[in-house]
Amino acid sequence: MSMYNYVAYPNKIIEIIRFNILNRGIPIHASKWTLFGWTDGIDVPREGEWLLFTGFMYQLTPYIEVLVDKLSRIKNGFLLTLGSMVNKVFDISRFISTPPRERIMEVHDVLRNIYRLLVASGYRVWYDEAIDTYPGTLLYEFGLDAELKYYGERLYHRLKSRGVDRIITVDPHTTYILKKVYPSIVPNYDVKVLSYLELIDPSTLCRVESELVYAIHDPCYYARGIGLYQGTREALASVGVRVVEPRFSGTNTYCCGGPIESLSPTFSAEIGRRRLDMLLRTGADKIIVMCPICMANLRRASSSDNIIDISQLLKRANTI
Amino acid sequence: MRDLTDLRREILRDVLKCSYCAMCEWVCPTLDVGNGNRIYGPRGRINLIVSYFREGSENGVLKESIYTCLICMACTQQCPAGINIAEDIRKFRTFLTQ
Repeated sequence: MSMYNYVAYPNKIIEIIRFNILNRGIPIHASKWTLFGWTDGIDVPREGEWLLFTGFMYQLTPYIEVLVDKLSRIKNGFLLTLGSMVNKVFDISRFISTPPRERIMEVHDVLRNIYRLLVASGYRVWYDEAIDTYPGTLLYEFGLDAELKYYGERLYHRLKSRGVDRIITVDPHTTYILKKVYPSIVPNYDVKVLSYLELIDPSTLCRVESELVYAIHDPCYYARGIGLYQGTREALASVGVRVVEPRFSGTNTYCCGGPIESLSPTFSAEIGRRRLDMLLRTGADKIIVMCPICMANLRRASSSDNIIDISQLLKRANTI
Repeated sequence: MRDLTDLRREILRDVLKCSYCAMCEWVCPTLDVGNGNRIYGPRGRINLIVSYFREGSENGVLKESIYTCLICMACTQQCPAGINIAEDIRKFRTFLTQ
């Protein structure tokens, strides 16, 4: 590869995503079943104390995986120029990204699990499809601050119109934007935001009977963003999970490469490969992640089924 | 929305604290992948931002450098001068989408 060609068409990709977020409320198309199907078969209250806000990050990841694979094959800028024009009329992501059903079901399983963990810990959790929405993460990451402020104010209005003042999030990016970013740009922002990992009560969990050793990968926006890394280790230790630390962990964690997967799939994949190598060098049997973006990017680099979400591990420890 | 002149001033005020000590570089995942080419590291990115504001030059190297940043904040916590490197790079992206 010649020098300076990892990022081929940033402005065209950013324009497509910006348009979709502002006009369609989501960066790429996902079916209603994908977004909300995790509540099928469980009776989630429509009112309560803590609003469970998924931010769609877990649900969108299977679509992003397919899209990134296609983006990495685009060598012609004209296609993206055409795509960004057509996208204003028809959502092009609808036609180019269809993930496997089992991958979506895996994501539903993760969300259902998180809900059950919270209920077991004694929280009165509620959920409403009309409130849950994409939090605007990519507007933030692309530096589109005017759009982010507009989007954040609209989101805050939506929350307040339902009297929401306590939110539980499920992924680090949504947590960071709702907890750290919007309070600084949305006037009078007053919502208490906590990740489910800060709330689960280890005493409600059963021990995990396993001889496997797990390497832990901290997501940047948990470890450095909100200082969440010790609690996750304590929860895992309390259920008997054997955890090993890779080179670069805790607040010194090493990014999985996922945040630039849409702008530079090749570069992003190479970072994922290097991080995976660090994690495997610990000698661990499996790798624990707690972010859907980390999961997608590390799995892209991995040839075996050895990467699991922390909630999938705690699932076996949950008794309800 | 802040005026771009204010944003430029705000970013410059912060990045000009850089003494190019390179403490930020050893933790940067992208510098590693970019084979040590400093445009893929925080110090190089800051240098390019300063050049852009002073000389107004925009080219493929600038976008390549700024858009390969992960905004992972690893560099920020290493900086002895307290520069909010990741946030400066993120905010600078505003100038590339105008």
